[in-house]
Amino acid sequence: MAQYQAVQRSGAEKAATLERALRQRSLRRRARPVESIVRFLLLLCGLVSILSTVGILVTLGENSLLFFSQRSWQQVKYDTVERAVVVNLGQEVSLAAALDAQNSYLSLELDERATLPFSEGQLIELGGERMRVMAASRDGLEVERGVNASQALAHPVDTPVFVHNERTVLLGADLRADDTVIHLSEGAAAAFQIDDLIQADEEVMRVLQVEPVSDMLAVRRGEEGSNPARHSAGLPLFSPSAVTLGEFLTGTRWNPQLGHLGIWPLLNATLMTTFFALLTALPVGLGVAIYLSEYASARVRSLVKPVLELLVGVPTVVFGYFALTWMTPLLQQIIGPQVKQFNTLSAGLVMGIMIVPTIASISEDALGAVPRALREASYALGATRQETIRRAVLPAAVSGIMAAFLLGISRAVGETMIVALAAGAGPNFTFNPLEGAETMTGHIVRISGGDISYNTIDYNSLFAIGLLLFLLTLAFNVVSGAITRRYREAT
Amino acid sequence: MATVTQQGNRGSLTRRQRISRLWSRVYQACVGLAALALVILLLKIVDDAFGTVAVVNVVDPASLVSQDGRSIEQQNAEELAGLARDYLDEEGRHFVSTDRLFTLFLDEVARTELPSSALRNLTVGQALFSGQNFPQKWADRTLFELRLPDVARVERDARARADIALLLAGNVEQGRLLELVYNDIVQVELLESWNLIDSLTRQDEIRARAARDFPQATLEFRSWLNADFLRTPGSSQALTSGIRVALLGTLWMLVIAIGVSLPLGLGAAIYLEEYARHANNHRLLRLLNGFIETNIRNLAGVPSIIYGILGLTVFVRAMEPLTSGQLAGVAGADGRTILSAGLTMALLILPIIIINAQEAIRAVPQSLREGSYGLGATQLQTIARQVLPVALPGMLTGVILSVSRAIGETAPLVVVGAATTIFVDPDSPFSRFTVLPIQIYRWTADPREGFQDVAAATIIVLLLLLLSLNASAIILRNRYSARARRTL
Amino acid sequence: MSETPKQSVQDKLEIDAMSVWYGETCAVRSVTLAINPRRITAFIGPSGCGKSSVLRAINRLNDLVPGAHVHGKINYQGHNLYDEQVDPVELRRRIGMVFQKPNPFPKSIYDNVAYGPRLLGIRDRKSLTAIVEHSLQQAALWDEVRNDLHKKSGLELSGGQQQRLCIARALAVEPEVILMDEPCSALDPIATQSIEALMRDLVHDYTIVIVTHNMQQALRVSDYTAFFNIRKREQDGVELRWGELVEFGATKQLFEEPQHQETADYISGRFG
Repeated sequence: MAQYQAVQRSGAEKAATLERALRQRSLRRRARPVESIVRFLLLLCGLVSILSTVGILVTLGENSLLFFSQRSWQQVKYDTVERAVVVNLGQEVSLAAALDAQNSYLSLELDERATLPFSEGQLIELGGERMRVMAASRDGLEVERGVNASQALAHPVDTPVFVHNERTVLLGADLRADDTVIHLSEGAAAAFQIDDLIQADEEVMRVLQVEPVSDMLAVRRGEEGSNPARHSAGLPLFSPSAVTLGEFLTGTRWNPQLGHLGIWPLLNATLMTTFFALLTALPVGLGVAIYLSEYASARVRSLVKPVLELLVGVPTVVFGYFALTWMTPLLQQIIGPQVKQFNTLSAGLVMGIMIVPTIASISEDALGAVPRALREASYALGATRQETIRRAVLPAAVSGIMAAFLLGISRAVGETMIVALAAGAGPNFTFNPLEGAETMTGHIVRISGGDISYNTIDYNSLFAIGLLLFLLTLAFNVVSGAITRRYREAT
Repeated sequence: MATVTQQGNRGSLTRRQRISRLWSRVYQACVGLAALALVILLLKIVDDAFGTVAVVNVVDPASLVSQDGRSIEQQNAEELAGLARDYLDEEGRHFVSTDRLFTLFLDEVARTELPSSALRNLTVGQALFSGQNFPQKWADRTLFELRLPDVARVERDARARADIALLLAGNVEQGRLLELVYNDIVQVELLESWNLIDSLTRQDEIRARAARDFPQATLEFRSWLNADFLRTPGSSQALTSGIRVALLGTLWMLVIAIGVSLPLGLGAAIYLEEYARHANNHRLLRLLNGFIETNIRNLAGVPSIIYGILGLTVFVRAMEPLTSGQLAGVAGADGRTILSAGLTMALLILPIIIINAQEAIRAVPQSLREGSYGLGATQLQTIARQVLPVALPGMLTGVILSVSRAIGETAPLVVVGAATTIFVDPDSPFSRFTVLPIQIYRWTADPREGFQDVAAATIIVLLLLLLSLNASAIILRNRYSARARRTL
Repeated sequence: MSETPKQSVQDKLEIDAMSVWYGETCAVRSVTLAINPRRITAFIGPSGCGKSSVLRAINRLNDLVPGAHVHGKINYQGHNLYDEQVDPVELRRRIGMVFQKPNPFPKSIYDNVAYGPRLLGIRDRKSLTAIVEHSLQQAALWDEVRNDLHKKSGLELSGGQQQRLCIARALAVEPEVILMDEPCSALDPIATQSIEALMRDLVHDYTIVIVTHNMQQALRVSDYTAFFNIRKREQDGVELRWGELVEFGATKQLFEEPQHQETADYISGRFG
């Protein structure tokens, strides 16, 4: 009875409390501003990730555009052929002995006090044949015969030697602000064509007419918003060179200061390190995956997995240290002293170690997704374990392994610290893995790590490289992700 | 015929079995290789971080004995201050620098527990040195003035030098002065450093070489990782280099990065898991949500150096007034500050936090949500009271993982502009910074003797930090999944 | 526990030509039936006939399923529940739900029951305790758990106790209708018995709709029964399946003199 009363009492209190709480609550929709605000705020959080992408795209895109549209002004040069003259003596140089068509050594007779007018790589001309100087000494020149589409010929003694000189174009006479004709140094007018732009100091002019004989140009002054000004004789003239996408993508020299902006030295180094990384990581990673998925007992797995997880957790800069201080000396011991202190092989191999866990874990997922029935069918036909793996399991998992492979490439291409430490500083277009060569990421780190001034061609070039890097990795990631998703859906 | 087939079968079968066994060895070898790589890596680090060193003193302590023949350890503060005065930094000689003296004063004074900014403006005469000796003419100078005009002039002024000695002797303990004499006058110089394994196995060879090449030097066994290493800032000398500034820089950077990305990341994850799939969403909103989702997956795969370029353009340059501290009234030089680094890192770890948090939220059983809605809870109430408490451990695991990612990242911070060498502790978001992995990078690339050993010691600290973080994540995950198994 | 019946529970729940779709698939098509107040109505039928979909549509729990949409009307207290103007949150408070698998929150027993009232803004400790106590009494769980209200998590109870806790939790916000989605399917016979007894008790104050697989249970506890069945059709080589309401009536009548052959087959098939 007492209990019944208790129930009555609590029931009454419950009813009363709830009635108070529920008073005036109708089924009509109520506005819940807090809910809407929170929902909106959370949406904003999601949008930040888009901002991040937009930021990357705008940053890379905008500055890359600047890079491709930025005009760098180069001194105008023209080629002159003149008799080789020993500078301090005014003595002309000629052959000291007759030269036949085969000999590549050319002997000279020079005064003791003379300064050698030749240098390595120079183009010289004798009696209509052009030669490239390979080595120069006081007694003679080592040359490459018959270059630049000329024939190797025999030359008698005392044949005068001509040199090809690149000369900078200078203003031949003072220029007033209202002159429209400019005089150039001798022979320089050949370097210009109608409609070319010329820069003198701050002023830009456009060539209207070329007079090669008298070395004069008719120009329109004050182009592109610059102001016509006085210029004095001897002022070097500049012509514009803009980076073209074609040059960027096909050029094989990278030196922004000198206007060489071909990505290939950097891209090639990236591809080389990536190649060696995958050469290591793919077989080892796949082997680990096969072992874990097909052979390992639960106990072994519980031992191997942490090893892989530890490898994943090691920061890449530590791998860079490892490559530089362990792998490179090891390679030097094995291969020999031709292994440079910085080389792409060492960086690539260590990068391979770094990527092994990535490839192993994705491949293992793919192997695990192969239905059991397929293995059993293979065993039932009398196949050995290895035959089952090779002929039944691997073909079924090939798309997943492909995804792992692509993701591995993407990680190797984007990897920075290993190559920054071990692959070398300085672009170098070489296929020799024992030499140092700077990768795209390594270049970005080196250039931006120093004190870099904004809006220079060096600075803007970082973004063009970055954009290429971004697009490359994005492509590999997207394809890899698409493959992974497809086989996940299929299983 | 039948026997031939049988024989052929049997023959090939044993061969096939043999091949199969061979391949299983190959697979095992692959695992062994991966494990071996890890072991060698760790061994190499330990090998570098400890070992014999050949060191020599720049100034022989024997030349510093007092006239009555007492070694520097036995000299009193006055005598040691005299040494410091005699060896004050001058052109071409790198001994006790005025900067060092000033820091020393501040440290001694700081025991009065005043903030260092307040100290700078106090005059020498104000209580700080009360009861102690200082030249009367300096009483009205502030400590800051003391450092710049007067002490700088000291180098040429013999009278002022005497004042300095007085000030040192009167206010700095003998122990600290002894330290000063050791570090700045005696100055140990590293001639060569050997690895641990060599030090243990080829002791005789090392001794013989040292005796031949560096007869002056002493050989000693050194652990590059030691208490001083953690306490001192970087230095141009391998022997005195430490990671104090880098450790603090890492902490500052983490606080900013996590402070920014945690709320954003969890918010985005909650939105994507709880709101984005709502049945009543407009078609456009659904498109947007799908786009955000794909976008996050792709962001997670962007090379970290790209984030560095983003940080350089957006935080360092475009937002320079904010990140350099101009807006906050700090006279910062440029945008290459801890704040920029932290924000860059926040963007980098944001996708990781979101993806992990999404997984944690997805693991919350739908029945809990339905139970809550069935009682008339609004969506916000359901999320706050049911979903988040259950998903919290999983989310935390993800956060810890992203913290360890942030600790180890190097490339973006190099691009954003970590300082080459700084010796001053960061004290605001607008300080210039360095972090542990940056120090590893710089020291590894430093060709001078000993710096690779310093790098190895730093790596040990970094790896221990990461290991403890990851271990706590794993423990959290296991406890959480054990509880989840019990309850569901 | 015989109190004076609650005045509020007097409205019929009229389902009018309702269809439930999940994306492109139709779960159940044009259901029309009226659920009487303070009675137990049972939904029976084979798996996949859409009876659970109808139940979940009543308190708009389907809103939370991506891609789900409902056509037709449900009239209750002069509102169409699918009207823009109707607040689904308040609706779910009035039409409570008990699920197939007991789903107590990972909190203490007390917090489980107090969850609903707290949502309503009731913070006062004494009132909360009274509500918890009474709700647990209503769900016939009070005597078993009165000593561990705060100590034990809802998840530490047995299956039958968990389900009664879920019922207590639903009662704590004073609903008018209680929807039960196969509440006994995860329970043993003894626990089932106690839940059934509880339903008979509660029906004095509440309208109860129960989905069940078990026809004997429907016969034992319900006043009205709706029988749903599966329809199939081949279209463009794809087999389309959906559920439809076949027959609705007083339980006794439906089981003893079914109007449709289908109903008779289903009932006898099961009984036979």
